[in-house]
Amino acid sequence: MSGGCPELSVIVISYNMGRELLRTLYSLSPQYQQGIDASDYEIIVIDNGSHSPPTLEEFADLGINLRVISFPNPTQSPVRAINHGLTLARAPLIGVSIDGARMASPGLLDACRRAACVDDNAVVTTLSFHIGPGVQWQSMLHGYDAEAEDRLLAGIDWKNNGYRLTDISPVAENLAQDTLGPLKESNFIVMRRGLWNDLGGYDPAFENPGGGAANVDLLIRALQHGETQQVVLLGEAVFHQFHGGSHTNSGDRALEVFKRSAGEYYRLRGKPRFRDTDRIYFGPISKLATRAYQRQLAVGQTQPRQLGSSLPEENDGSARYLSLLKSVLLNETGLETEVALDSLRDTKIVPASFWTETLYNVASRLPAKLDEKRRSRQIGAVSRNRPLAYTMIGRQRLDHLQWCVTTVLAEGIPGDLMECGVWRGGACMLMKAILEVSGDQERAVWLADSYEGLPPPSQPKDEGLDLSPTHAPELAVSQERVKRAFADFGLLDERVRFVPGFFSDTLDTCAVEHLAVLRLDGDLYSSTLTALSALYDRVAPGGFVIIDDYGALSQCARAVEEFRDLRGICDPITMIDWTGAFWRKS
Amino acid sequence: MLKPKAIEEWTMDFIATYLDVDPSAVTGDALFVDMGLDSVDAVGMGGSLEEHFGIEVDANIFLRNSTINEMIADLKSSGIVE
Repeated sequence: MSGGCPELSVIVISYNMGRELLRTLYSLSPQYQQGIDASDYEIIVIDNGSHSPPTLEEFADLGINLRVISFPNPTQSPVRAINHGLTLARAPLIGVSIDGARMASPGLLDACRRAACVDDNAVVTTLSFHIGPGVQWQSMLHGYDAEAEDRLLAGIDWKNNGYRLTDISPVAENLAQDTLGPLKESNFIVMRRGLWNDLGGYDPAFENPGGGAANVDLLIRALQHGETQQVVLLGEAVFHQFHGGSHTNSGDRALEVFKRSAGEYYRLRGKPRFRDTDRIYFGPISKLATRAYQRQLAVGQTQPRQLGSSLPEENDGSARYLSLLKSVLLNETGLETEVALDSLRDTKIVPASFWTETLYNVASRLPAKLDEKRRSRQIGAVSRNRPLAYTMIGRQRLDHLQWCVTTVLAEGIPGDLMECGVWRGGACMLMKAILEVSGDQERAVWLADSYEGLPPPSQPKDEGLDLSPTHAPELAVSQERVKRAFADFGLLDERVRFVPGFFSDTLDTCAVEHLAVLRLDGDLYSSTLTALSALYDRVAPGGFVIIDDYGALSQCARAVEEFRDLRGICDPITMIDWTGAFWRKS
Repeated sequence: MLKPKAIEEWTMDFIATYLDVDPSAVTGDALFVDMGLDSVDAVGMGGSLEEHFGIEVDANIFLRNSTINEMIADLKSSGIVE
C-alpha cells in the first residue's frame, strides 16, 4: 500500500517475534485502530536480525500502509535498527515502539496524533502494561509463559474490544511512583521529526541486549531538551506480550540484567534523574477507554463490568450489606495494616519509627505501596505476601461470583452452590450471604477442601507445582477455622455443608445432587480434573462453571482443556480477570 | 578496600538525584521504600555503584537491605568495604 505522505509514521522493532508480531500489527491495523484512517499513518517494521525474519506477505490482509525491512547490520541492541527506521519514516510525526511485542489499545494512534497537537514540542508518552498477573520477569518465575498468555488473550475477545486488555494486564511497568507520577520510560513514544533529529534518535552507545537503558535515556534526554512538553496519554496504553525479551522476560536473571543496564547508563550519563516536572495528561479519549482507565485507577472500588456481568445498581440495604461484606472478606478496610507489615518483611531490625509513625500513618508514609496494595486486592494478584483476608480472589472475581449467583437465582437455574478448594472460605461466605438476602431457603453451599492444604504433586502434569504445606503452609486452613468464620459472620446453618478430604477421596461419592454454580480453586491439574470429572454432570444447564486458576496456572488450564475436549464442550470460556475464567453450561 | 563513608555519601547523592529530592531528605536509616525507591530502583542503584567504584556486588545485597546503613553493614560483612 502506498500513497501520499501520512501524518504519522510508527517504527516497530522486531526480533524473533513470530508469535507476537502478528498480534501487535493487528492491534495497529485500521480494522482495530479507531478514529484514524489507513492513509493517515504508516507502519515500518524493522527486523533486527531474527532467525526467521518477518515478511510483508504475512501481514498483507491487515490493510496497513506497511513496510517490513530487514536491518542489514543487526546487533544485540535495537538502537541502530530504530535509528535506521527513523531515516525511513515519511511522516512529520514519528512514533517508536522499541519492542514489537507490545500490543496497542484501540485508540492509541489517534490519541497520539491528537496529543501531539497540544504542544509544538510535545513528547507523547504512554503507560505500558504487562499482560498476565504481574511484571513478567516475576510472573514467569511462577509459571507464566506464552501458553498461559494465549489463554488469557483468547478469553477476552480483544480484537473486538481491545480495552479488555486492561482486564488481563494489571501492572504498568513504567510508573516511577504512582499512577500520576513520572514515567521511567515510554515504550511507545511519539515526537515530531524535528525533535527526533535534534536528539539524534536513540544513542548507539547503549549496546546492551534489548538496548539496555537506551529507552530510559531517550525519555530523559527528550524531556530535558529545550522547551519540550511531556504529554501522557490517559486511557490508551501498550501491552507487553511474553516473548523471551532480554529485560522484560529475564526471570531469575532479572536482577543482573537491570544492574548491568543501570551500570551502562551510569557509565555513559552519570546518575539518572527522574524529574517530577509538570506533565500534561491527555484524555479522556473515548467512553470505552475512560471506563478501562477508571478500572486501573479505581483501586478498591467496584466498577461495573462488561460482558453482561454488571452488578445491579440498586442501593438498598441488601446491596450495601453485600458490598460491605466483600470489602471485609477482602480486608479492603485493613490494607494499611497489611502494607505496614509488608514493609517489615525484609527488614532485619524494626525501626522504632515503625511503631510510632509508619503503622499509624501508612497513607502518608507509604502512599505508593498502599496504592499498589489496593490495586492488587482489586485483581487478586499473587504475591508472597498473602492477603490477611478471607479470600485471595480479589474484587473482580468476587463481583463476578455475585453476578453468577444472582443470575441463577433470578433465572431459576436449579441446584446448590459449591466451591472446591476454599482456603479461608471467603468466596463461599459471599455465596451464602447472597442466598440469605435473597430469601432462599432451599439451596445449600458446599465447601470441599482437604482442610489440610494442597496435596504434593502426584501426577507428571503437576510436576514442579508443589503447594503442599511444606512449601505453602498458609494454604492449609482447618475446617474448624472456616466454620468459625461463617459463624462470626452469622452465616452458619445446616445448609452450609462441608466435604472434608482430598477431592479424589470425596467428590465422586459426595451427597451433592444438582449444582447451579460450581467454582473450582484447586490449583493443580489433578485437583481440577478430578473435580470436573466428579461434578460437571451435576451442574444444571444454565449453571456456571468457574475456574479460578485458568490463567495463572498452566496445569489447571490443561486439565480444563483436556476435560472440555473429552466431553466435547463448546460453551465459550471467558476470562473474568487475569486468571479467573468461566463458562455457562448450555 | 572501600571506605564506608565514600559509599554512604555516594549513595545519598544518588538517591537524592534519582528521586529529584532535597539531599536532606535522604538519611542513613530511612527506609528505601519510604523514600520512594522500589526494589528495581535499588538494583539499578547497585549497577551504578558498581560502575562508579569499579567493583562487583551481588544484586541481592541491594534487594535484601532496606536502608543505606543496612546496605553498608552488609557490604562490610561481604568484605567489600572496610
